[in-house]
Amino acid sequence: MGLFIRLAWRNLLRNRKRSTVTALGITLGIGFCITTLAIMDGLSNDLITGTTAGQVGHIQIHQKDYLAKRQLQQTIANNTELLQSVRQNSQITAAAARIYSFGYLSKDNKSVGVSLFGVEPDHEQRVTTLAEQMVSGTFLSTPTPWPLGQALNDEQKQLDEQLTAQAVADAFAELDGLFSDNSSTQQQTNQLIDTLAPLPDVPPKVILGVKLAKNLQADEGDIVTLLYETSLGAQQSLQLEVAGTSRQGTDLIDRTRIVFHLQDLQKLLQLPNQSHEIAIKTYDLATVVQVSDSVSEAISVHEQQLSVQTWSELRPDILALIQSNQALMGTLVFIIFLIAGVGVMNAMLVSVMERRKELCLLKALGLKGNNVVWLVTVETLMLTLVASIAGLIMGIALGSYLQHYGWDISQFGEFSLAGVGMTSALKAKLTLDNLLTPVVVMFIIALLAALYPALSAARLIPAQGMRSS
Amino acid sequence: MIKLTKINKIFADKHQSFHCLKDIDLTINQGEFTVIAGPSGSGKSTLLNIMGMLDKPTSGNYQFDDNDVAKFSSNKLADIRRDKIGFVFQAYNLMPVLTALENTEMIMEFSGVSKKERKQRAIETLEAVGLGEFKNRFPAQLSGGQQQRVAVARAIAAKPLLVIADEPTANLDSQSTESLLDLMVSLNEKLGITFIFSSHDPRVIERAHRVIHLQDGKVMRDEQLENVTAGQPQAAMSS
Repeated sequence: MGLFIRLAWRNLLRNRKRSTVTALGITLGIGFCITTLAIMDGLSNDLITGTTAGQVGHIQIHQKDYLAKRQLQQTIANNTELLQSVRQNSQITAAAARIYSFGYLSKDNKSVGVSLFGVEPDHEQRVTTLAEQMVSGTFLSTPTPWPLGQALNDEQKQLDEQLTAQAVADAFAELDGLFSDNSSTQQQTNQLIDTLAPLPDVPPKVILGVKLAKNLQADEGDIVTLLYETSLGAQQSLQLEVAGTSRQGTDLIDRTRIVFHLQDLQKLLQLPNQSHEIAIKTYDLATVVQVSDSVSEAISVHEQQLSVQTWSELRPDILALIQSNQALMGTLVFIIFLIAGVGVMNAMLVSVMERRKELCLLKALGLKGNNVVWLVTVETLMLTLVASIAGLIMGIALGSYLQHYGWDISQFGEFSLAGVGMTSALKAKLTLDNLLTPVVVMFIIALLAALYPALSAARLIPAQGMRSS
Repeated sequence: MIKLTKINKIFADKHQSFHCLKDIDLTINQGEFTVIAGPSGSGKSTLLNIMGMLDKPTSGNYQFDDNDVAKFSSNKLADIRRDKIGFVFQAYNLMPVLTALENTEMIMEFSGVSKKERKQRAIETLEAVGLGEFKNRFPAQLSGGQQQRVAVARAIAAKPLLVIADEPTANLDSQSTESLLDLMVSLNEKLGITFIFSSHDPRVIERAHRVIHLQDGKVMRDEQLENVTAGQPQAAMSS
């Protein structure tokens, strides 16, 4: 073995240029593969983090079919009690209830279709990074003081029935082309609604998407008007105060979203103690399926038709994107290794051809065929080992730099992948797998590449080599 | 030790064939100092290659130590070459990346001789061929004569039964030739190593006990010479 290592090492040094060029190919191959895999992992990590921390969370609970139909009435009932049982799970960091709706927001003579998003500020901050996305102003904290609604007395109930009948009659008259003055009916109806669901004395504070605020020219402290429909079907308008603006990084959301305090939006939509969604964050993303199962079991006692889904079930497009990126990078890495492997094979073939006489001599002096295979293999392995160490150093250096500083892609503008806002610096993520995989694969490819030259060398007939001398 | 019966060797390709050795019958006994002489192209090297198991005959029977060589696997042949035969080639054929000492140790390392023992034997052998002080030099740092002496040292350091030398003096000056031949005769006399040379150098033939003349692939004459050392068994069988 000692002789083989000496022979292999000195043979490599014998033709330094060729050995250096071949080693350089392996070094660059391994270095770039480590960097590519680290960037890929960083990108996947960013996508998963962007998805889970940006909005989705690790697990979500909805009423069955809510995600398919998204109807205002498809709520999770007894929201407080349900949240309590979810939060008892020791594997959960936080759980936050949410509520969604739509409306029109106007300021001065501008009007925009908007999505309403009600959150529990304290809990939401522990599930997602919503509070960290503030561009201006401050994030929501306490709900707006909101007077309690009162049930209708008998007289009011009777009036309600009369007004309903009148409204139906007015509608038929309008269909017949007859004009009727219904302003009195409307006024009385509004009085009844005020009794049932009174509006607050001060405008509720909301956070606008940064582009929405820009479109409406609304700044912090400005008053905007929301036109919306309650869960009972009544159309109402309400003045809101802009508490700040946020940027989630996704164009659609930044153009359309208004964030409310959950209790404000519950009252506004007349959905007391109800929510459309409960977002959950677990301690460890890797255990999300297990936690999802235990949450399903815990909430099954609440006798509601609920569905519990993990982030990958909610965003299969993200998972598919990550998998397709990994497949693409895998192909790229394979091509890099193939090229490096061809380089190794070429170098070893030339080396064997050049040393045909010496190899024949070794066989003549009693070296067996399998020993000749081993000799050529040791030479290849030593070349690969030295080049791999250099490649590892290069990969670690490049990967660490990109892990620390990232690759600034802000020059290409803001961009999002599958609706997930990406950071301006693409950061790599170095893992032991990323470091070892290219080295192990390179060794396997180098061994395979050495096989043909080594077998060719082993098949040499000693006398032929001697004769050619 | 060696018995060749009706050995033929034909080199052929798609277009032509060359009958190099024709019905060679030959016996070489232990301790002989034999020269195979003949002009270029007479088949000397081919015959040595067959006797050294570097090549196979096209037909005929080769017995080495009473064993049929044709029945040996390539690994067994490699073992015999390693343990029983030393080779000295015309072009020295040293490993250029190994020093004189390492070249001399090499075959013993193949055999698994311990590091200490092989180093000691290699140094002793190099000193015996007068190269003790050059042991750490690479072949390129030695003269032709010195390289050939390293090749001899490599051939004998493992204590073979037989040394096959293919025109070992062809590239040497007179002084180196004499010195090398002295060494080989001395090894033959002291250790009883069998030597088979191919050569048409008269200085080599002068030292031989036996000269086998080859011409056109046939044994033309098998001569027993006067200078047979007492105590060395000699025998010859001419064809």
